[in-house]
Order: sequence, then C-alpha cells, then structure tokens
Amino acid sequence: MTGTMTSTPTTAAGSRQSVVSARDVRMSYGSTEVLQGVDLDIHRGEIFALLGPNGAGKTTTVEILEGFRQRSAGEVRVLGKDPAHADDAWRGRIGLVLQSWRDHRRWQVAELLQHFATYYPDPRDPEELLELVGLTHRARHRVDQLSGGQRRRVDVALGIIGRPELLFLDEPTTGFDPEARREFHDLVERLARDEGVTILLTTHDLAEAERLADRIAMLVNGRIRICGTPAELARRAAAQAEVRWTAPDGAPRRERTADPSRLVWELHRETDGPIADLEVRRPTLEDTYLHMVHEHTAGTAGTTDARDAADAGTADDTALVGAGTGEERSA
Amino acid sequence: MSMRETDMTAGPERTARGGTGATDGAGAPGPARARGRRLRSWRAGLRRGGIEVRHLLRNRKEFVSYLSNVVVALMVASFIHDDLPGTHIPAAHLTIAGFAAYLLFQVGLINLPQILVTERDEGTLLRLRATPGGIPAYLVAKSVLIVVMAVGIITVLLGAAALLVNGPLPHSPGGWLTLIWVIALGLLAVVPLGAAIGAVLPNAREALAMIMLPAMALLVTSGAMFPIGRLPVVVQDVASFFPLRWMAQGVRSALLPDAARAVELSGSWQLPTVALVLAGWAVAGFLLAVPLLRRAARRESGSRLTERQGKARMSGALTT
Repeated sequence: MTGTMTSTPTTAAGSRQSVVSARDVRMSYGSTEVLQGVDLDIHRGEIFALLGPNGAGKTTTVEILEGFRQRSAGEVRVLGKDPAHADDAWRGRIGLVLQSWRDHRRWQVAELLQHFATYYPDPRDPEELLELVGLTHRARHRVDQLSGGQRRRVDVALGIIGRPELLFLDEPTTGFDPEARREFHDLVERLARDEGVTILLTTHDLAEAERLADRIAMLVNGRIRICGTPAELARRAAAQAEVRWTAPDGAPRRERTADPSRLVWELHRETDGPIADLEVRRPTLEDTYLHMVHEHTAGTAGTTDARDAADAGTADDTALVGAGTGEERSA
Repeated sequence: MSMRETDMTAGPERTARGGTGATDGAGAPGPARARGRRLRSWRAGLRRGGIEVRHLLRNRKEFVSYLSNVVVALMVASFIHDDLPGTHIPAAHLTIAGFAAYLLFQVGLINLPQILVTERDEGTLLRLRATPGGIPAYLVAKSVLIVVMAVGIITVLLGAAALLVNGPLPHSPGGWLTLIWVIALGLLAVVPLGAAIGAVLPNAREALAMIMLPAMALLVTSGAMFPIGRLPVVVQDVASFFPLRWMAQGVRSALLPDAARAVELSGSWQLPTVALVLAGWAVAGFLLAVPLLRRAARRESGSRLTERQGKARMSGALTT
C-alpha cells in the first residue's frame, strides 16, 4: 500500500463499506509489468475518479474490476465477489458505460431500453429512465440518429437500467460540447446523491474529476501514487503557488513560492504602489497531476510533454491540459 | 423481487451478508432463481430475435441485397433452355435447386459471420456479455434470425421461380418432407461453422473477402450450377468434402423427379450419405463453435473494442 492511500478523508472511512477493494494487484504482459501493486478502496455511494496518463494501467485496472481481464496477482473484491469468477447475478449489480460502444444502431431508443429491461429481475421503468436521462423527446428515434451526447446518455440509461450498485463510467464526456457535459455531470451527481449508486469514473478531464469526484486516485506507471479528496490532492501538490506581475520596466515577471502572500507584500513595499497585472495562482489539481506524472515517469519515453509542463516555471505552460482550474486573483 | 426491495432499504448490510450468501446460494432459492434467470434469457432472446427480424425487413438496403440473390438465380435459370442430358427435365431446375442450396450455405457461412463480426466490432457482443443472461439470449436471437432468413429466402426463391420461370417444387408429400429435413440439417451443418468463422475473423471488411472466394469456388465446383460429373475427378473429390455438394444433392432429390438421378455421380440421390455428411459437419461445427465463441465473448472488453475501432478507422471501414 502506498503511504498516501491511508490518509483518506477524515470521515469514518474505516466504518464505510468497501464496494471495491483491491490489494497489491499486479498485471504483466510478458516481461512488462503494467500494474505493479495497485491498492484501491471505493466506498458505497461515492464518486471515485481514477486519473492517469495513457499507458499508466488505468484501463487494465478498470477491466480487472469489471471482470473482463484476468490479473496476474493480487486480491480483488467487487461487491463482495472476485470479478474473475463473476456470475450473472453479480453482473446484474454492475453497470457499464464505455466510450467505444456503437452497438444497436438500428434500434429505437425506447425499444432498446424496453428490451434490456427484460434481462433484469427488477429493472427501472424505461419511460422514467428516458425522463431521467433527458431523452423522452427522442424515444421514437433510432440510436444512429442521435448526437454523440444523446448516444452516451442512452449508454448511461442502459448502464443503470438494472439498478446497479456500482457504475463504471469510462471517459463518458469525450467529445461532448460544454452544455452536454454540464447536463451529463448533473445526471451523474443525481445518480450518486439521490440514488446511492457508487461510481467509478475514469477521465482525462481534470476539471470533470474535480467537479464530480468525492475522491480521486492517480495511477502513474502501474501504481496509485496519490489518493484523496480533490482539495487534499491540490494541497499536497509539490508545485508551489505562482505569482505573476509586470515589472515597472514593462517586462512580464513570474515567480514560484510557497508563501505567495509574503512575496506580494514584499513586492508592494518595493514598488510602493499598485503592481501591474498582479496574479496569484494557487497549486491546482492539474499541478498535482502533472507533478505526479513527472515524478514517476521521469526517464520513460513518451511522457516528455507532461514532464515539460510540470517543469514549467519558465515556459508557456498554462493551456496544456486545458482544465483551466487555476484560481486567479488580480490586484 | 423481494430481494431487491430489501436491498434498497438495507443496502449497507448487503456485502456484510455477501460472504454467507455465497455459501447458502446452494440452498432452496438458488436453483429456482437460476431457472428463472434461464427462462428470462430465453424469453429475452426470442423477443430479441423478433426485433432483429423486424429491423431486417425494414432495412431496405439489406433487404434488397438479399433479394438480389434471388433475382440473380432467376436470371441465370431463365437463360438455360436445354434439358439435363438423357432426360426431359429442364437443366434450369437443377440450377434453381443448386441456388436454393447455395443461398442456405451463404446465410450460414457468409451472412452469419458478417453479422457476428459487425456486432462484435460495434460492441453488441460486449454489451450482452455485460448483461446478465445476455450471451444465451444473443445466441437464441441469432438462431431465430438465421432460421427466418434462410426459410424466407428459400420460400421467395422457390415461389418466384415456380411463378415466373416455371421452376421446380416438390411433387409429393415425401418430397416436401425431404426438402424440410435437408434445409434443417443443411442449416445445422453450416450455421455453427459460420459462427466459428465469425468468432475468429479480424474485422467485417476482411471477413467478407476471406470467405467470399472459397464460397464462390464451392458454388462452381459443387454441382450446384451444372452437373458435377462434368468436372475433373479431383475437383469432385474436393467438393465432396464440403457440405454444399450434399446440400445441393439433397435439395435436388426433393425438387427434381427421380429420372434426374441419371445425372448424379452415383446414379442415385444418396440420401443417407447426404444426412451423414451434413450431420458430420454439424457436429464438427458445434465442437468448433462453442469454444471459439466462448473465447471471443471472453476476450471482449472496452479497450479491445477501442483498439479494433481505431484500426477500422485507419482503414476507413468504420464511418463514425
């Protein structure tokens, strides 16, 4: 277990139930060890986000939990069962929303939901479900006539039609426009808060993780490197706050410091007046993420972009992940 | 149902009880629940089959492509005017019987693998794998679809041929009976085999190329279009290994008068051999298909799907 894992939120995490628990999960393909001992605990009713660069082992981890992949070693319990030996009853308690689904294109939306309801002992009412995902007006349309966002909402509807206790969301908002994304986030929050569905979200969108997740884990190079609430993660960033301003000679300046308040105070004393374009950027989830990626993949090919970005004290770094989570304040 | 209600209210206790639940699952409610599940997935499969048939009928493009086979058969038959050598039976009848056998063969060995590969690549197979009872329902639905397709095509072909080009129909109840068992056994011979092929083919586009050529070669060499006796003995022997020759012979025995036996290799219909060869292929097909399909379903996962879709996009086969 990576020390960072144990310091989960201050709530009575121990007394809460684990829906997913993984201990020292390993996965090797030939001589490459994709997972090098993953530990994971996801509690009932929480939204848990798993972040990590491509190739870090995210997909492998999730597919082991979904029961689609056999692990090389380690202990896994999902809803009290080992997913490697999952049966139909267990399947019925899990919901999946995958980004690569393009199935059942010829089916009408309502027809599709009604059909999949018949597989479950106690399904949701298809009409209420359409209402819930906002597709009532598309009920009679064929799946291949829907927009990308609507299609994904059909996938969500199918994912929750059997009233799953645990829902896997695999990069659910890739390709969504901002409005569709907002609506989707509202839906996911409603599922978790109102219906107590436990959600495991994998995403590349840090803003999405920050907005939705109760807890976030970062998987880099086959291990969970850090895990906690979004606020905890941002605080734990080794990255320092950044102060930007324009010097009296007109040159843009920036400086990294652990104590931005002191720096600004000193600047004010030096200039004895207002400081042009003053900005304080607090460490964000993005900083933490990039720092983690940098720290644990140094020397690994293919991660240079991320490393450059994490190093950025001097270069143009901001728009890299595009999450735009910087907390900005101007004087 | 009652179990679900307790879940909603007493959710937090659930996994705590999960450990014991696994062991007493062998008790009274276990088998009953399993039976309920099996019944549910059969029902879902039949309903699914019905829906798929409806979609097929509504899809004009696909429907036309199936009908075009029939049109080709009728056109070929209408150009053949001579009689079978030594008889007064129109050679066109042999061709129509041959096409009937070939279309069955095609449904099992070309259309079915294509459907399977396409649905695998779109994620239908994965979706059903992730659904309780989904895979059995899928197999039931596909069986319904294939049987309806095969019977539909044969009916349209023989009906249209009889109406338009004076085509053959069975002369006696015995002939109808033979036609029915040859169709049934012929489907059993090619459908599992087609499922096995569909389980191993890389993608929909290559799939078509890889099965079309051998299928065409068999169509020409199996005596479906013209008497097999005109071909070199080696070709006859090779063709005799595959089911199409025997399916065509079986269909001929049902549709043509006994005088047409003169054109057969052995001078007889060889129905016991037809039954034996087709049954052999059926058994071999099942032995191949079950593990291959199981493997194909087991290997499906989100990342495999993404990977294949990426490849398909590169080659331009997928339009989304």
